[in-house]
Amino acid sequence: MFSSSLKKMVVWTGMFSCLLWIVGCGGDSGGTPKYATKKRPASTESQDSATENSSKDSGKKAASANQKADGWGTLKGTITLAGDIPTLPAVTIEKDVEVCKEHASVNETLLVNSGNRGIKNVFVYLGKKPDEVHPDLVEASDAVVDFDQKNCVFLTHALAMHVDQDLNLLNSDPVSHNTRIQGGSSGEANPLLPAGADPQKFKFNRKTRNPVPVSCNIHPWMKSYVLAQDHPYFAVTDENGAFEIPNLPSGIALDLRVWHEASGLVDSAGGEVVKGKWSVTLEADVTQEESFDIDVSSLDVE
Amino acid sequence: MKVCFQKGILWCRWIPVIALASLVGCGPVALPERYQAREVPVTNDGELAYQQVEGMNERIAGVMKEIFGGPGEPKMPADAPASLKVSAKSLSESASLYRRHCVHCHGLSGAGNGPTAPFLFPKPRDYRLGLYKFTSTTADAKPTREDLLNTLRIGVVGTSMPAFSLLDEDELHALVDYVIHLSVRGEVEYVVMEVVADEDMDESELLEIAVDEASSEMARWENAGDLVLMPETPEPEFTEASVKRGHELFVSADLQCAACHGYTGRGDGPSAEVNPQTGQPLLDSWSERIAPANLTLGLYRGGRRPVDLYRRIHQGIKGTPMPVLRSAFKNNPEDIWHVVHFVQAIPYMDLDPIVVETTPAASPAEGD
Repeated sequence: MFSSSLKKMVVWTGMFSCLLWIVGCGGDSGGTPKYATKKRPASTESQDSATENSSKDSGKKAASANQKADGWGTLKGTITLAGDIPTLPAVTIEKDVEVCKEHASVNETLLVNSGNRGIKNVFVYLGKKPDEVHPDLVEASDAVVDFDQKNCVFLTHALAMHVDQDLNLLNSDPVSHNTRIQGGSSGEANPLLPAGADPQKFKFNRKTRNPVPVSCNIHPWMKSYVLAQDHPYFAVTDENGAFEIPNLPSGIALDLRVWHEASGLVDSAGGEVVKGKWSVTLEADVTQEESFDIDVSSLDVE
Repeated sequence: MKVCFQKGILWCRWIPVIALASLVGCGPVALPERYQAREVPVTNDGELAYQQVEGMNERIAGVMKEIFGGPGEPKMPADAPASLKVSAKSLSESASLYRRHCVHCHGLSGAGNGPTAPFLFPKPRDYRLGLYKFTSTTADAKPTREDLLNTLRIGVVGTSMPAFSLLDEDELHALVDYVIHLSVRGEVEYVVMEVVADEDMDESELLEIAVDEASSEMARWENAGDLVLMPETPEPEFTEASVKRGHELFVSADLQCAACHGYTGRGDGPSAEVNPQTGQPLLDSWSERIAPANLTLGLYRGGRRPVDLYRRIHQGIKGTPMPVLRSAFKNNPEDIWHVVHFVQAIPYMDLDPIVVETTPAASPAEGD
């Protein structure tokens, strides 16, 4: 009698401790990686899937790497607005009115040419550095880029540059500005530039994935965007919505990216550009024209 | 006991079980082999920076684990400079110390997302940006080891960050070792994330990029000691005239201190308000709401020594709207000290906003 009870006791004890072991100490077993109690099985699983994924990816990579660029081609085009051109509210100027009011009240969030519907300040750039860069463009990245402000407006509202270039921060106003570049881990700066201040140099630590904001806390309406890439293939559309990127590698699928401040990554009306991704293949020695519309409903404008 | 079994009372069986369970107790929680996957960053437009691709987190975690290990067995990259790990403790021991003292606010991966974090304002620091606000170094430099040690020793006054002055020196160094580890790891992770999102690469290329990135980050940490800002002029005597001069500068159009901190230093200047254009309050680089310091409180988060205030003014505060003010003092570097003296005096002054606002703002060029 006693021995069978003892057996039962041992069995129960064993079962219960197993249960405790599995449940853990009040930990959730929802499968989230944080504080996962089942250490080994979960991680080997994810490890396996990681290697599986990577082998898949490297297979894909090998396929695309076999295609080599066969020359150089130029991409040009126009980015236009589909739908009614929205009227944006004017910027309210409450500070340094005498200096600022003349120009700063223009709302630059979306600038559309009323004649040809071209959208200004759209960034078009290659998402990654290509294997080869056209010899003419290798050297072109040494110049210093001026970044000035006048009448409380950044003179370059949308600036694309090479990451090796220096930004020369200037102030042409008789009032103070602080130029706050928020590149996160790509590099941050926030110098105060009083009237007549010496130019301040700034260099990004590394390329920015997308354009990063530049602002002035003294004049909160001031806004600009800067893109720094580790290759020379970028452009910003002009007041006609036109852009041109010369001497891109041809014969391979180019992964371009399209970005505008009113939408972030752009979706085009015709579906050519999805979440900012635009795939284009150029022919050697040909200037290819590729244009598309952006529907006004995809832009975040009041 | 015997009676209990003979009578077949069911609950009696549980006595040894409960006794055993209480002996086992809540032992050490098994650590995950890798850190929690990083959330996809949100851009300034409130959009996700990129689309999650299946298997992406596993790929990133695989590369990160290869270089930095997991929370249980953290390691620095093979080429880590010796100056980044000073404590006699191993990095695993440091990590264990971190989990005892820091993890509940700063989180396992240093993301500032520990279980206590949602209840705190300001938020615990997210180390992964590699940005630290209160440093002795120039605006684009990393903090020195001494800066982080100081933050541990005295805490950050006016916030939830306590002083850890009861830990011994080696334990403090161990925590700094681990914070630097998490910081470098976080920055490399971000780059790996971007690369995985954008580019089609195999694991060895990815690893190479991550190792390069880690090296350049670690070099920046190592060089921070060379970029310590020392005052350009010795501190003048703290006099009424110095405070008065500081006041003039504080409200001047050139310096624009009052734009954020207000004319009376309460942190209620016009630029501290919600931006009418964007509808957003002032934000820091972690996208958290940030208020200009209320200088009437006399609480200085980055330290209250005059040199601490001098550095905040001269080189600004990293990741925040507080700018680098150096260029405003190019003709009179000593003026920085006068502003320091005024800031030190604000809590004891009876500043009248109306009187100050009607006084024409003095320009430092005209002064002295």
